[in-house]
Amino acid sequence: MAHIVFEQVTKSYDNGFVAVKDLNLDIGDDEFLVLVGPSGCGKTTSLRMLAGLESISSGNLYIDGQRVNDKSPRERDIAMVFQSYALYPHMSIFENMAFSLQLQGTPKADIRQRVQAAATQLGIEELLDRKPKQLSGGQRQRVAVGRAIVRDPSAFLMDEPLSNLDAKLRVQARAELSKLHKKLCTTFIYVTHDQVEAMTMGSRIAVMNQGILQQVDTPQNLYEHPNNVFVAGFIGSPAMNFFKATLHPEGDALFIKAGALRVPIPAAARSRYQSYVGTPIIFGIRPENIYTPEYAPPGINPFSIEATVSVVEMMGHEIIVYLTLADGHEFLARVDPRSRLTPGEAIRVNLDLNRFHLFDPSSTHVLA
Amino acid sequence: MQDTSNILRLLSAISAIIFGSGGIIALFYVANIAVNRLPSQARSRILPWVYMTPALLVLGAFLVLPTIRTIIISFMDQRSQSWVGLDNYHFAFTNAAMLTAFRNNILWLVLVTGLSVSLGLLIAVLMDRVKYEPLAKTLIFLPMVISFVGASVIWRFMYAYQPPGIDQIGLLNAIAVSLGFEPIGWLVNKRINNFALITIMIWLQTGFAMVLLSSAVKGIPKDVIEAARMDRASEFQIFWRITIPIISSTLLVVSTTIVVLVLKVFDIVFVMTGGNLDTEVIASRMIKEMFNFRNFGRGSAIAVILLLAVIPVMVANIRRFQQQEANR
Ligand SMILES: Nc1ncnc2c1ncn2[C@@H]1O[C@H](COP(=O)(O)OP(=O)(O)OP(=O)(O)O)[C@@H](O)[C@H]1O
Ligand SMILES: [Mg+2]
Repeated sequence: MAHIVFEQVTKSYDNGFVAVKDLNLDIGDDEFLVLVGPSGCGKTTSLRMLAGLESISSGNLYIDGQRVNDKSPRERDIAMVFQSYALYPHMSIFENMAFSLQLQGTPKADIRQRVQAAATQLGIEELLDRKPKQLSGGQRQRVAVGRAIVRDPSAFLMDEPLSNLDAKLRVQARAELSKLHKKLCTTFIYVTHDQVEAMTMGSRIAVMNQGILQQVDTPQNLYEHPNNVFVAGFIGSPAMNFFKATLHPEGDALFIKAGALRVPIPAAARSRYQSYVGTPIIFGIRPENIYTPEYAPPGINPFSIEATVSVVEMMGHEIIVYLTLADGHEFLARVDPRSRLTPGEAIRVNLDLNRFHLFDPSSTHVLA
Repeated sequence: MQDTSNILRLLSAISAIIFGSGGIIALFYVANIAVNRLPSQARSRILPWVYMTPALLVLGAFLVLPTIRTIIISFMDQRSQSWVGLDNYHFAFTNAAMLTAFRNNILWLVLVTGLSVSLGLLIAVLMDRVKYEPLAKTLIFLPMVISFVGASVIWRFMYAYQPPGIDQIGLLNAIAVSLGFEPIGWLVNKRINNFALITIMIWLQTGFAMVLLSSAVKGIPKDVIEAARMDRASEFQIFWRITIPIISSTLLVVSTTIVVLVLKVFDIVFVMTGGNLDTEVIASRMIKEMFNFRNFGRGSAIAVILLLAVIPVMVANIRRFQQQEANR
């Protein structure tokens, strides 16, 4: 229940390294905002500035309209779940969860009741007497979350809380955290570099790269309308295929030419790109928008191209196929598992021309 | 003549080293071969003993036997010729000089242990946030490498006293006089001389406490401290409720080590005051009975008392150690 605003927030460390640059971000009252980006892009730094564990070099940070740059963590009413969980090793699980309440002078009976309630909610009641080192990774993660929720803070910060869990537990914990957010209706800010976590949990996603915020939007919009090459390549797995290309007019029509590839721009979109004729561009298409002709669904705008199969990865529910164009350019397609593909074979695949992206190679922005 | 005897001595030293260590290696080698011949089940049970026996024998010969002998002598008279029952112990607990020594030792124990551990801890925690940490820590650690006797010599100059009117060569009195006070007889004034001696030991041991505690403080994960900050703990609460409990085992080890050292202290007293003017401690008293008065019975009785005093400390240490092992 906190409204958080980053305004031109910058962090430069003592050694002069700028970890976060001019961050502008407005996080709503009960939002589940996910901060994603590759390793070292400044996610943890941003989160720690919000927590008050790291000083802000310039810019303003507001919580509920109040500037908090110079407030200590204890004055911010924010709880944080650390990647390492950071449980107090000398305290029992109960004491770990009760610690902050005890410091506030909450009555004993009240503490007991609140810890019990949180423990029940997270399914860790029978662990309350144990010490942290007697727990498994998944149990520790729950305790760390429990320690945060007993406080009933106005915002939760989580720094890759699931990265130490195995794949199965992670899926389960993901769902639990989402449920928890719905139930508590509090601001969640969640850091991860796992885009599946980002897509499934976030009500909005902020994508960062090299200290700079690239785009903030709903998962759907981020996927469908990436702002720039970085976001286009980062969201979606396997990543979007990119081709260096140019736009060529031929009569009325407009073609994207990328080496051996020659793709017509659909009539409806033609006017939009008319002004870029002759300039270099980047043509992008996602692997899932490339189909084998036999299994192409209705409703796409197919354009058939020829390519050679180089590697076939059968995933069970889909096939990831590495294809090579006549000019040697390699790209990926995610096709129906029933497709018959043999390495070395020349095949035809259909690009869905309703779903391609064009970018400006110098600014890397999407062409408007 | 002189030369040849020196060379001979050198040769015999070298051959002692070669035959000594060679003999040990041969011993283990032969024992190992013998054990390897045994059936494998017996082997795993016997092997540890094969390796431990020589060490146990040496330990027994040089530690356990003398201890037993000391205990026996403590029940005998001055020359160890006839039994006197508990007389020596009776003396130890009633003699006025002994009682002073006991009182002083308790003072030493409380002040040295308390102050060097708390100062060491304070410095360890504060230094953690200081820029010139290594330099500052080296300075504080430095006294640690000086022997007790060396330190005492240094402090004799600190405490040196000349009658009023004569130039003071002692640092403390020079300061006192320049500020317009009378010079103070640090080592002769019975109200302060014990504290003057205790200060030396604190100066020596604070560095030791600081180094061990500082590494324990640094061993606390940064995340845990930050988690406490997020839990809205003040720095003071973090110190008492997070830092202290987490380093408690190191605190215990440091405290007990200093307690044992203090119980054994005698060099400082011996060099500074010779135990005069009510500055005697148990160990210096023991040396006196033993070597000045040649009363082996009393000296041994005091030694046994010291030994008994150390036992609870050792038990506490071992308990703690076992707990830690069990918790791993
Ligand atoms: N104390 C520091 N001094 C100097 N540079 C630092 C410091 N802490 C972090 N950095 C740098 O700042 C950048 C951002 O670090 P940050 O920890 O925020 O990355 P991250 O996005 O959380 O990465 P990851 O996904 O690996 O956790 C990194 O390049 C890192 O090397
Ligand atoms: Mg990080």
